Amino acid sequence: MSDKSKWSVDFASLESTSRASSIPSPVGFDGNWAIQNSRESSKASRSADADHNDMTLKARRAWDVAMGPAKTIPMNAIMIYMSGTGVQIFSVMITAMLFWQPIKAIFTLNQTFERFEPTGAAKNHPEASLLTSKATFLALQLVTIGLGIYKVNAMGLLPTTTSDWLAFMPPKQIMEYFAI
Amino acid sequence: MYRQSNRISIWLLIGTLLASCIQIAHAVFEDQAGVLDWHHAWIGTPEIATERNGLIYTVTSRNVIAALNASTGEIEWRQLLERPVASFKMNDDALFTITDEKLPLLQVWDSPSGKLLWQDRKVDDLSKDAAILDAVFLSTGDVAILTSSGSVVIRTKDGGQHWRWVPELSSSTTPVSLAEVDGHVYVINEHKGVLSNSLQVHKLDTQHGIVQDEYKLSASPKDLDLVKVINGHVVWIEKNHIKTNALGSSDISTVSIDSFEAFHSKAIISDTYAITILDQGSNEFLLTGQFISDEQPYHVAAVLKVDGNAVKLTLNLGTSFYSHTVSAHGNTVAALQRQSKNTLTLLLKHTKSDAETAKSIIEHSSDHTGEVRYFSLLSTVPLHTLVVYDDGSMRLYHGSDLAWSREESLAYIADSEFVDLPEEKLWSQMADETSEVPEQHSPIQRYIHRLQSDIAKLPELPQWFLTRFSGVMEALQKKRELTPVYLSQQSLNDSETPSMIYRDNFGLRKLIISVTSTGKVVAQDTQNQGKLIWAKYYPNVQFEQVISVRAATVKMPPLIVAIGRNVEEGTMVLYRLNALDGDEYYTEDASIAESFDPILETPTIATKVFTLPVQEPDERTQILALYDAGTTRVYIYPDTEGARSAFSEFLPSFYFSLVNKDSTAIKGYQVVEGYRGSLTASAVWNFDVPKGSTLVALGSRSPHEKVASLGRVLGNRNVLYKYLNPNLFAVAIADPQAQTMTLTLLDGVKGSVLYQVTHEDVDTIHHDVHIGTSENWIVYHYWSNGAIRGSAKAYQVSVLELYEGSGENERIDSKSLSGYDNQRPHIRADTFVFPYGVRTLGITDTRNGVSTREVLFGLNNNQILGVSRRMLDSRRPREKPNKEHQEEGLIPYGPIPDERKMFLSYSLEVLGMESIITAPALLESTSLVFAYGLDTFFTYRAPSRQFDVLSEEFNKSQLLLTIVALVVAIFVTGPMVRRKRVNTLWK
Repeated sequence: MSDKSKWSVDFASLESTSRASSIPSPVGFDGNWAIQNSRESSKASRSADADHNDMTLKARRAWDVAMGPAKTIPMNAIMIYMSGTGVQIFSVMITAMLFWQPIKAIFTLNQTFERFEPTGAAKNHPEASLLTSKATFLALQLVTIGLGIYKVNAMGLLPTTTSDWLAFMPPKQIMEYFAI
Repeated sequence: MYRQSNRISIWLLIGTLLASCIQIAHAVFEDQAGVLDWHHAWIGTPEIATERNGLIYTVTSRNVIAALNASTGEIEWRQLLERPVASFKMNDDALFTITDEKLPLLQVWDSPSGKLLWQDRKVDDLSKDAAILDAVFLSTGDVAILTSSGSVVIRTKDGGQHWRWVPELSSSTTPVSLAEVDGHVYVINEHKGVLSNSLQVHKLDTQHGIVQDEYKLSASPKDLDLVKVINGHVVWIEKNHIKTNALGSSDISTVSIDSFEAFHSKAIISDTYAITILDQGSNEFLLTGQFISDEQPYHVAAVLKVDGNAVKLTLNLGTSFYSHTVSAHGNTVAALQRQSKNTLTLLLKHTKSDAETAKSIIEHSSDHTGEVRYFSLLSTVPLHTLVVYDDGSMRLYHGSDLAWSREESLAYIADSEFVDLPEEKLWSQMADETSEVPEQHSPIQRYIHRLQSDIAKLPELPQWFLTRFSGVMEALQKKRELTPVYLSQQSLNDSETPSMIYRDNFGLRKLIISVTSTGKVVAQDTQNQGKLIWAKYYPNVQFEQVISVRAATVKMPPLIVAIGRNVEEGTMVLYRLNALDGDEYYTEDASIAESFDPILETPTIATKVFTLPVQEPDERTQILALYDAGTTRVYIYPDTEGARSAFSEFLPSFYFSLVNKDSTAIKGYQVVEGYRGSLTASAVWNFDVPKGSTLVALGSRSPHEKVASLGRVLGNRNVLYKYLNPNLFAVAIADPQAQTMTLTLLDGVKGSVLYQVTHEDVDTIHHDVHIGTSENWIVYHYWSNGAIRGSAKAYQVSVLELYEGSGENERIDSKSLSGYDNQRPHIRADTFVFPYGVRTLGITDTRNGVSTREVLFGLNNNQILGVSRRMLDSRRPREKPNKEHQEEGLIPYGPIPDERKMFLSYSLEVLGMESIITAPALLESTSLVFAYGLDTFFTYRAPSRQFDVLSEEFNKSQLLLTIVALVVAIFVTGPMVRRKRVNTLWK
């Protein structure tokens, strides 16, 4: 949290709408002065340029998050390999995790990306859209689920073969009765 | 080369390891033996019985010689012979038997232990084809043997030869008998002369066999059997005269039979005279004759005594309508006569003194056992008598009190059937509810009714808990009190009424109903060591079959039909009995009462009786079809209106087949309705047995069998679909000349041959062929001479598996299976070397057929071997099992192991096994097994282990204690934790 808050202290975004605005400024604090100072330090005429910077940063961060699951895929694959195809408590746990985590991640997708939503003018910028990163994130989670399905199949738990439907087959009707 | 062999040994090692991991065999522990299973050893009904040193030595009609404990009736030892016994004699420490066959076998047994000392079919008497004719024990302990060539051979007790005497007999001389008197052996021959017949007597020296004397007695007895040697006297009957000769003198004394009071002035048919020797050491003999008065045969009998040269009357038995039986022991003659329906009179007469005949009364009703068949006076002081009745039971009386009995009728079982018992609570609780008609009462009404009956049962709840709890307590204590087996083998007394028994929770308790060829129907409890529940006797009936026609349902008792033949009348009889108490079952429905009589006696003797899968609507019993081959007519039983209409609906799909009288063909029939509703069988197909060949075995699936899965799942999760045709049966035909055995699978409806395989080098003359059929597989056992390369000279068991298609997942695409479809199964077969010869074969049956079946082989060595179907599997891999094989649970190919663990009968010897029947319990894992023949043996079998029952080792007390300890711990630690939490809040 501390890292994040350090990062997010950006005087450029200190607007009157921010949280702090509800609290009266300390005595002798000149808000305008502070803003002016920061603007001077960035040596640029603020607004457009600063917003752009912020937007690309957010987009990069969003991409980092979106690619996160890709790193875990090899690890999961190794775990699948290691746990074998037998139906034991360990392999069942791993398989359950393979389904549980991606599904959870998919459902909390918008929350995960909420903080990268562009604000202000950047909202309309095409580069600011999180759609592609969200889609990537979703796809990677689906790949993880795919791994899980592969694992379940390897364990022989998917009803894909004829033997799985054998019990539901009706017996043949015998047309004649024969006694010997 | 070395490497290769090394590799093979590794394979072997892996194979054996795998096999041991799979653990197909499982045996009983020592303390489990005889707890749930029981083995009753039988001997059959005695034909001769004598007592010596507290043992009763007996020869029975089941060809058993046995020694029974005189005080308890337990078997001390017994020997089962292959042939009936013609002659039996004993001295103090040995006994011998001569079998009744063309070349009789003489066997000498050690009497205290029952061990065979020696046996011989031929004695060394220089002649080629002389058979053993007669033998006696000499006072020296040696055995003197008379052969058909007239020679005498003396053998010692151990079989060594002392001396022999070989006379030169003319062709008109036949040897009759031999006897020992005062240290001399007398040989009696009959000589048929031109003018007169005579008996030739040779007197031999016991020590060396030198002829010391020789004389002739002029005699012409009608029959050689009428010449008897009674304690040193030759006695024979000649034209209404008894002639005697004291051996050693040539005098003949003659007494007219008419002079005896009993035979006086009665027109006795001279052919019917017979002499019976009563006891080896006494001078008494029984003379019987028959005369006819008012077209009724009457038996006349008297006990006579040879005294010097005179024959005197000892006991006049007179004429009696009831048969009587006479026995002698030392100087006492005893006769047992029926006095009234419920009493027998024992007459005792001391022959030396002139004391009056003593009488004692034995209370015994003839209703349950029939008349006396054999009677033996075992000892006089104290008075012990052994009585064998017509039903096959035997009883030992001390004076007039019953000491013990043996239900030997069970040695003559013709057929057996398991009958389910009713559930106790169902019986009482739901009795009224069945009478409700669903249409008349609304579901709410019925629900209220049910609630009411449940509430009415509420007061019984504490009792129910108590019984439950006591059951647990018993299990905890693990105390088992067993009745000795010999007590459960006893016959029921006259006064005993059958006790009502109910089913247990697991359906392990059933009734075994057996019908015997002695005319008895016996019901045994599968628990309590096979105790008799009830027994019924029908005089003159030879039972052949028993069929359970109705299972126990609410309010209705289970019913059986016992089918037999009345020997005297020459009729067929069918008895419908209540399986719970053996009473004849009368229907309460007056409208069908006439055609639903419990006893049906008919002059038409059905060739075969079939059980049909249809019920008649009135009493809900299964309909039986009776086929009479003589008239080709088919009758149904019961012949009620309802049964007829139910049968006519079923008629078009009913087919049956029959092996014809001389086993030259199998014929298939269909039943057609003819003139005025009469049913006749019309031939559909015919399967001829080739000339020179014989039909050796037949096998068909049990109609009650349930199949759990329609296919067989392979390691790769594909399926081989089973060809499940209940109409299929297997026939084994042997050609002894070519030494081949052909197994044919036939469809019973159309008679089409589905598969045929010929095995070469099969010996069917000395070894039987046995077939077992279940689900989609056929197992058969035979002897192979092994002349073909690669085949073993051993017993072999082959398995044929039938599948719908040759490949995986292949199926015949139709919803039905008919004999007229042109469908042929694909066969997979394999053969395994089998360690034993087989007498009979059975297959376990479980409730839903989920458990792997087990083939039960009744072996020649009187054991029962259970071989899992996984052993008899055509898919057992010959190479190293790969992953898929392992997945499928296949065992590497190998012979059927000779594993003691696989014996159901552990150390018991189930003698004379003829059949093994099985029935399912309510537990899917368990099958009930009953083997009969001479002995009866019952056991439970769990072919796939008891997966649905807690194992014996499961520690119930530990579980209960752990639960209690946990509850206590929760109560103790709960407040502690709460306090601690409060304390932390204050900090």
